[in-house]
Amino acid sequence: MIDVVSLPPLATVQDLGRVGHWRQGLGRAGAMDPLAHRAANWLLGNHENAATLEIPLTPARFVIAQDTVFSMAGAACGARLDGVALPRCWAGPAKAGQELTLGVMDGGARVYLGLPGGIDVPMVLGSRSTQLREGFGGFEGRVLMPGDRLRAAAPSPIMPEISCALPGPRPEGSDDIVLRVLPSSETNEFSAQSRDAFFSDAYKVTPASNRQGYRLDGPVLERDATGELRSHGIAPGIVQVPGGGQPIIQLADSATMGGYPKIACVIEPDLWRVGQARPGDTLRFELIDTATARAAEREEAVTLNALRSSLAHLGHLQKVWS
Amino acid sequence: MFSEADMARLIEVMRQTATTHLTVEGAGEYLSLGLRPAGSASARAISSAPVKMIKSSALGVFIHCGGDDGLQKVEPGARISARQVLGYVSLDGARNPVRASEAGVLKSSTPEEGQIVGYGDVLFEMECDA
Amino acid sequence: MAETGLFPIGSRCFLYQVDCPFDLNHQRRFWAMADAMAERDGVAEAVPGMTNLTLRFEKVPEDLDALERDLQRLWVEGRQKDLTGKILEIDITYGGSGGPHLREVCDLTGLNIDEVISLHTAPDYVVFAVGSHAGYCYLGGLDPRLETPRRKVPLQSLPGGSLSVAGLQTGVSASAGPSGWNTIGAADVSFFDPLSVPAALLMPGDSIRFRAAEVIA
Repeated sequence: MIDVVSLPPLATVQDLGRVGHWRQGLGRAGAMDPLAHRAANWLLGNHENAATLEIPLTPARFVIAQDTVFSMAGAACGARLDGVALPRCWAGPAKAGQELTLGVMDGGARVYLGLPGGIDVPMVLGSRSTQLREGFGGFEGRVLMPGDRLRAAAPSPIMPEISCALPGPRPEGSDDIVLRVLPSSETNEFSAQSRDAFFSDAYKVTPASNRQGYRLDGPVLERDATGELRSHGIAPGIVQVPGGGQPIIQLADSATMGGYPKIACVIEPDLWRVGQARPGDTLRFELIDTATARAAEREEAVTLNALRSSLAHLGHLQKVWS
Repeated sequence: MFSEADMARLIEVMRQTATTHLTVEGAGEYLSLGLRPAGSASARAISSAPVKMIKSSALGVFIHCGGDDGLQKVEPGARISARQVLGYVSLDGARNPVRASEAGVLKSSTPEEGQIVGYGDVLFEMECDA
Repeated sequence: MAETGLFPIGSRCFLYQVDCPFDLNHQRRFWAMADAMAERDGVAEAVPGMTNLTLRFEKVPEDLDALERDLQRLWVEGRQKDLTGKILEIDITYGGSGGPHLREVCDLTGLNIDEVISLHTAPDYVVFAVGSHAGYCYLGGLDPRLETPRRKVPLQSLPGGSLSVAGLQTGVSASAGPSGWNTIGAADVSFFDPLSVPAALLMPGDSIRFRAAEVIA
């Protein structure tokens, strides 16, 4: 059990999302950085879909209410347990009364807090994610507040501390976050100059960015065609261009239908990188084809598998040693 | 009857006054204390700041802290607080954190980044606070 | 006009659209296609839009050309799905604080309040698609005399149950959220309850009839 002492009002309980209800107009929700969410679970030996607390804004302060193991993964945030600095991806034991503090986030935008078996919130429509607009799921359908108590869904195992490597959102040596995109239905309706700009220039994440979507700022994108589109399904990763010519990436809490022209869509295996992008960060869009998207999906599966099995293996060895 | 604290205080006084031999009488007992002459640095280091070796608890690849983990880099000479993470022994991406057992000053960091270390290999030496 | 074809809207989500008129008969073809595609291997979800169809796959689909051919074949087959026959009657309070733009809609359409309400309550509106937010119904059938432009400055948050018009569309919001439409009334109705099965009150093919329970001029 962990008590929330202070926390900016944007943290929500999430799992890998509430899929299967698109036909009823229900968005996916789920962790904005599914990679860090999974790591926070695997560090504890949880299932990857166990609920974690997604924290997009710090500083924050928690008190351990009862001896427990817990985990953290995602952006570095100067986490300290009773003043002792913790690695950014870490799981280990804590004693009742100990204080967990999170400071300034660095190099990312979200950190995930995990508990044994996941955070104990009810499963609604197949998921424990918070549906913020509809006000259900997660922790009472809302953001976490000071005074809230996070309970573990399973008893705390006896385990020594463990850490892991987790990639950052940027390629080695790059200032920009690079996102691989597929062309979408209106890509060819944008002027050649706009397409060149979009697929080569950097776009800055503006402060008007949240779980619904990120508004970007960069070279204006002009569509040669006119006329409104009929509303159609949209999904996280779609890059829409409203009348002003500045793109928006729709994300985990996006609407399920929309009608703005679409210049591209970010592939699923790169969405976690957007989840770690902060206002002021720069994004670049690399145009790929579906064969490359297929390969990226396979690579992602290999990477995730390697992380999961290495954590499970070390967890097993630690048990043998102790 | 002399307690350990009494003896520690006496030794401290002997050091300060460069006394090498001291006999004390009290409560029907004699205590005779001998100290090696001052000036020997190693003797001072051993007695005033015990050096502690931090060893690997596992077989794996050694990784310094301060790389991708959001922690400060730790160089020899740096002050170390108790329980501070100093590095990791890594196995295929999963990492065993290596911590200082107590506060002090880091003297040396033995393995190179990426070096394979075995169980019991010395990873760090530190001078613990007296 | 929409270019006919299959387009990615995500690496696992694809939009199939056809250059066709926007009317109920064409919409009924997309409902039938959605049902057919939902049965296909690898398709996780098939969702009708406004004369288009969105598909979600578990993985990036292997053969997009074959997929597009199948969709084209289904489209040409032209099977139509019937209306369900379910009609939901919704009591509306037109105007007042729940319908702050009723007077503006009168100004924009050149109609008086009684005329706006009588035109708006006249038809049975067919639920063409459900989406945007949970339980929200895209309705077909608004009288063209009630056509208005979207608002230049959207409202940051409009309560659930708000009845709005914009362009040739009308609808009642199912939960609180931003809106760029003209809000002319309010209803006390729950379009989505996560604890009900199904959670959404209405599905494509159902209909809505509005009743003026109260008018606050």
